[in-house]
Amino acid sequence: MDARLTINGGPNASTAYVGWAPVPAQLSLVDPLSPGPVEVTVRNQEPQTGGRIVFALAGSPSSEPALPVTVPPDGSPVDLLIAGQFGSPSTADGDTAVEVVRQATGELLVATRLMVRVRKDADTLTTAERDRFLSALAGLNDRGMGAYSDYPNIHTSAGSPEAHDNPGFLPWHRAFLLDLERELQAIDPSVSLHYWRFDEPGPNVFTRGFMGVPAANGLLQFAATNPLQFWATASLPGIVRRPLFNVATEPASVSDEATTLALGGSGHRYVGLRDMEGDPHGFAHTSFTGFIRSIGTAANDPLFFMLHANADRLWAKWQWLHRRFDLTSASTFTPLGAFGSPGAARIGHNLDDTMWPWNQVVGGDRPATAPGGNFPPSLLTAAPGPIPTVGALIDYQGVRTPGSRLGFDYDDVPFEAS
Amino acid sequence: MDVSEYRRRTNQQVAAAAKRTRQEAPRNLKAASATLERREAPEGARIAAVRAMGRDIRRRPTLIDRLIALLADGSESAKLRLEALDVLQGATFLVQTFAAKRPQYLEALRSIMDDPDRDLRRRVIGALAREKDEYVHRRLLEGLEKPSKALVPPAKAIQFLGYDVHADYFPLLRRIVEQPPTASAQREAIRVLAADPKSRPLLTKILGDKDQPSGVRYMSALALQSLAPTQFEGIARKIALDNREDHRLRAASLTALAQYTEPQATASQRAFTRRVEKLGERASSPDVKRATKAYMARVRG
Ligand SMILES: [Cu+2]
Repeated sequence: MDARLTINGGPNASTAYVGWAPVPAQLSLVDPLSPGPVEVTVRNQEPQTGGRIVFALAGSPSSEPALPVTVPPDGSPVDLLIAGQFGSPSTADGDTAVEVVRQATGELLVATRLMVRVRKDADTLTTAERDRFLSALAGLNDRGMGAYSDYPNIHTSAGSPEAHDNPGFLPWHRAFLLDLERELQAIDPSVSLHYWRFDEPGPNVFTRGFMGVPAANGLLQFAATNPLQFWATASLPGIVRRPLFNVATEPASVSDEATTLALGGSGHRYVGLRDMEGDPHGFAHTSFTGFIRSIGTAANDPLFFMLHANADRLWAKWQWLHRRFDLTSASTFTPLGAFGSPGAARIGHNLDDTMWPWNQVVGGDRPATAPGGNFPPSLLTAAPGPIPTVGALIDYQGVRTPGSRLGFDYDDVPFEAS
Repeated sequence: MDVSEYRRRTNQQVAAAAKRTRQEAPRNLKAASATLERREAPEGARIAAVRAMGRDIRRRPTLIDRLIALLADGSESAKLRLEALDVLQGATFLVQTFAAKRPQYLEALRSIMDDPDRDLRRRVIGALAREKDEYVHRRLLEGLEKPSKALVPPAKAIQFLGYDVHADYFPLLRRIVEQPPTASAQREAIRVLAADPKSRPLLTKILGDKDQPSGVRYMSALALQSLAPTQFEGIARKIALDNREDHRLRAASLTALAQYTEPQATASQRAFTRRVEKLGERASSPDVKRATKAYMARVRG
């Protein structure tokens, strides 16, 4: 007897990546040779190593590391949900496996490898995780000749009103980060966009082996095997960045996490939370001299993405804490509606507006060019689509609408059904 | 991990932070403004006041005027003015709020480019250079041509010029590479010449010249990587296998080849890989050993 387990639509070699948000899976029997339904258990194959997985029957609120399932004999599938177990992410591609075992006999019907892939605190990565991340970044940059150049070309003074100082600041940057992360994963699917926790010291981040250490003139120096040494943007090799704080013992000059999460006030409203664009976000940028300190050059430094991943994580954590995934609530995001309606913000910053540059709209209210094309697709989810609206970036875990799951998670922000 | 316990704990931390903020907030801005105006107040308190004002800029854009005045005020301490600069520079990310004040801000920056404080001067020039400010560009070039007029050391001046790459100063940079005032100026000039296709022969010559300092050759390698990747690949192969070569250069060449070539694609590449393995194992430099190991790990996938 054999079984088939298809994760995320399959083929599993490309789609067996999960975060904390549950993804759909189908379990069916192949050549059943059985007169009646078969009782099986779906479980972690090696519960002691690698990432950990939990399972649920579709529609059921509780998930378990080992789930009894009754599979029909006619080969029709049972719908399951599979997710990483919060707090137990993978550290390498396919470092965990799911197996389906027949209860009566203990016979192994099928096993498939999986990765619990989440964005992590960059200070806590293993050397191998760090090196894969650096290699993917350096690959995308390709000594200044790669697709990375789209990102600094988008994050310019001309494009900045689309992204800053308006309600869409957080959703727009969430899209910008996910765009980059998908490009990194096309190079190495085991990579996530790890974040720099700017309100804590980063002794393992600001090293020659990772994000570099400045020489006397501010140009970063790297270890001999660090491929970031070949980083180039705007036709020049190298990155200029000098911290104005002690990276080993101090955080950047920013408010701490709890203070940021309290910005929404007692009503936990988005309109308050978005003050984080100034402190901590802006103050994190100006905790350094060099590229990252000015809008036009900030994205020339790959640290930009790790800084913004942390800003995005803070929003995600606030969303989880106060269950802010309901797109009809002004506490989740405001303004609701589209540009032109009463009380609307600038174009591109209202819930139903599409976002530049992915909408490829140029001229008029939008910038004169739109580098980078439409939003890149993913094998793991159809969201947010090629032309995302602001609203498509909000329920990133599919808490309210499973189809809006964007395919990323943060190590310290769990998934909880609404 | 117990998620409901985690939620409870997080809520507690946030509530405590909210309470702290509430206690400070009502008097925060008024008190901060008052503290800043009291010149006899301790410097630390005035610095904290500037930071607190910075947090409120989006709600009260007029605070920008006060901070710009402080930045330009040579009678205030450099430390306090640096804080104002950091806060204002952070506010430049609030593009709309800042738009109306931008001309004033840039004017204030230009007005203090010659400030006696070295850190303030550098940070101000850096901010202007990243805005591709034409005036600072001219002053930096002038300083490189007449050292008595230099605002910053030559290496820093070249680095700042590099924010706005222009063919018109490439001849000057080539002269600096050949007759460098300092080693770090030479390295920065090479770095910026990576944008100049005409400098390819010069950079190739320097990379091949074992009498040049190691750091200068290394920078030429980085510049050639983006300027002439295929040509660089050939040079890097030779360097990687030369056990009399500079260790850092060897290790960097190996790392570049591992990252940007397909080590097993052709017969000649496979032959090269075998020689890398053999030589790397015998290398005395830990960097070359590490780079060899990483190269071989890449080969083995
Ligand atoms: Cu930013």
